[in-house]
Amino acid sequence: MADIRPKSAKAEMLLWSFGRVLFGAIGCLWLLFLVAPLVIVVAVSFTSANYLMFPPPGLSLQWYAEVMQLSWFRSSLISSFLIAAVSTAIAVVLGVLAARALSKRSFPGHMLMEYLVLSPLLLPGVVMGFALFNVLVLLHMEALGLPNLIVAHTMITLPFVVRSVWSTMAGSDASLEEAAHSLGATPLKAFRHVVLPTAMPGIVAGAILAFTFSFNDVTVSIFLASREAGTLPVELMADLEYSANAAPAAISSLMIVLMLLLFMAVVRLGGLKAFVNH
Amino acid sequence: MTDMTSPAGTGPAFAVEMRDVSKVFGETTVLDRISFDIRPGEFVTFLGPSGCGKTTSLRILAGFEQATSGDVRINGQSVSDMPPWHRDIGIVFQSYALFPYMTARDNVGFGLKMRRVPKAEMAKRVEEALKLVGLSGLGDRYPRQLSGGQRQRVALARALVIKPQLLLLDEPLSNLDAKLRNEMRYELKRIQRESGITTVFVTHDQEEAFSLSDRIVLMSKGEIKQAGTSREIWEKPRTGFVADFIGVDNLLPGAVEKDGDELVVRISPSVTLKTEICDFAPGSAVLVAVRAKDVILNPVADETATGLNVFAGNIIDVEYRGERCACRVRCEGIDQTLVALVASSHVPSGAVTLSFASDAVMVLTDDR
Repeated sequence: MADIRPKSAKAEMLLWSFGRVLFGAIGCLWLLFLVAPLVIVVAVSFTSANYLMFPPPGLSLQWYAEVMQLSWFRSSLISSFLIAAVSTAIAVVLGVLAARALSKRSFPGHMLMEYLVLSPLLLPGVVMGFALFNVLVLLHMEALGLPNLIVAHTMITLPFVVRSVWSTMAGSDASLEEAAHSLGATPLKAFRHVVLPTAMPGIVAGAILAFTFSFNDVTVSIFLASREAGTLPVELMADLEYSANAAPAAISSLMIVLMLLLFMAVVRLGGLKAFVNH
Repeated sequence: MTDMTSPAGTGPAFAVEMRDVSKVFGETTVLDRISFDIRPGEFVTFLGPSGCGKTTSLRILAGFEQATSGDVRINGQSVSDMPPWHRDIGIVFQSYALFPYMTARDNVGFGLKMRRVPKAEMAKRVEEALKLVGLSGLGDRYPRQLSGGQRQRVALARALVIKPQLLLLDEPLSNLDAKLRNEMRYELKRIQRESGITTVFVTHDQEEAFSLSDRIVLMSKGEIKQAGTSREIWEKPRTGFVADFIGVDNLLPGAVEKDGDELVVRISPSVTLKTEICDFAPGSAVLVAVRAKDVILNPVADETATGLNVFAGNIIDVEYRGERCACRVRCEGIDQTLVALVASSHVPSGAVTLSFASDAVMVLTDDR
């Protein structure tokens, strides 16, 4: 029998351990790059100075107090929440139905539907926004603001929901539904008691993605936001153009915290259970 | 039930009637005019290799597939236009198909919930069902917290608790290890006997089929090859396929010939076999089946061996099968090797003489 051990076994072993260390180091570096900018923004938001500077010369909450006074901050925060919540709700309903149709046996137009539903993922936001804006102008509806934003956000977030729900549905045991039928569940009851709960991890994940994407979007919204219905990221962009103080940093910090809280709340409420039980 | 076929009060004569049931998927005929009846309380197994149509038959009974043609009746009532959720059929799936986000108790109670059974009665019946399958006290566990055998029992309880007209079992034992499978086989038989429910079992495992069934329907390529009790099929396989499937070791293609007043089977230019019963006309191509246990192995080489069904040969391989060993013997004038069983304590070698009685020679159609 041939000996497969090379003379350099020891060297290879060393290289192997070194590789694992390197892998860990790259991971840490990657994390650092991801987190460092956020840390700087949050630190700057607590500055006592009237200008942007890192590290801050002193600490204060003055910029948070300042932000709370801004009327555009409050109104755009509310519309952002409203738009994200409503468009996510619509996207979840439509997305679950679309995923259901796509995960079933193929039907005529299956491919077309797949591409149509997922196409917003492939197009740049600017293109989507510009195209939508043109359509709205054509229909003389460009000044509607809020409803336009909701429709647009539903369109761009739908693929996230469809993708994640579809993959959970495709991965689930088809005989679960048949079992429900054999036990007396009509298609509607089987959908409610079996299909939906089985797809819940995908629905929750898709909804989180959809909500955050909608809440954070600038590129599409910037074409559709009106003075009355501006979203927070769009207003923040506008403000950044001429302000050099730390108010945007405070707003950014608030948005980071908000997103974290939201994610934790969803995980606590239903997401975690759905994930663990699967 | 609208059309009772028997006097009032006794119920229909058959729990299940399948009449000329065919199923065609595109170009492929999966079931070719299957007709079969199942008596109330009977345990019937659809047995066959994969692709034989046994699972499709089960799915047609369950209502998951529609027969392309033919009629299916359950307790005398035609179910061709009846969706699965109205059929009142309990099914145990190969994957068990337990709802993962429900406890064992909720899984078992699902069918009763769909039937709007009052809470108190539901709780009572669920506990009874769990007790029947030996899972009392495990009702609060989720499927992922149960072992394979326990999941199997929950699936069985879930199917039985609705007191279905018919219980369908789709290879329910194939995901269990050998020891557990034997245990569950016994349990399955006990539970079926206790509940007295008409049961259709689908499997490719002949040992399972023979040990469990009142009757076996042996299928191949969408046709029923033979239907009968375990003993009937084991002792009198009707076709070459059946003999092959139940594991008859010696299968020799040949042709029927007339030898004086008798019919014999020529299996090679120099060898003919004598047989007791032959239902074929001279010239027919047939398959001769001889069980290894019927082949007598004489450890003495008798070069002058004459007479019918006696052959001189050499042992070329011995396969250990526990108490017995299977000897593979190459005989003069026969292309195929023949297999004979001998006691493992006295395994011969070298030149031997094989013989078998003429009534051990089964002459069958070659439909493998």
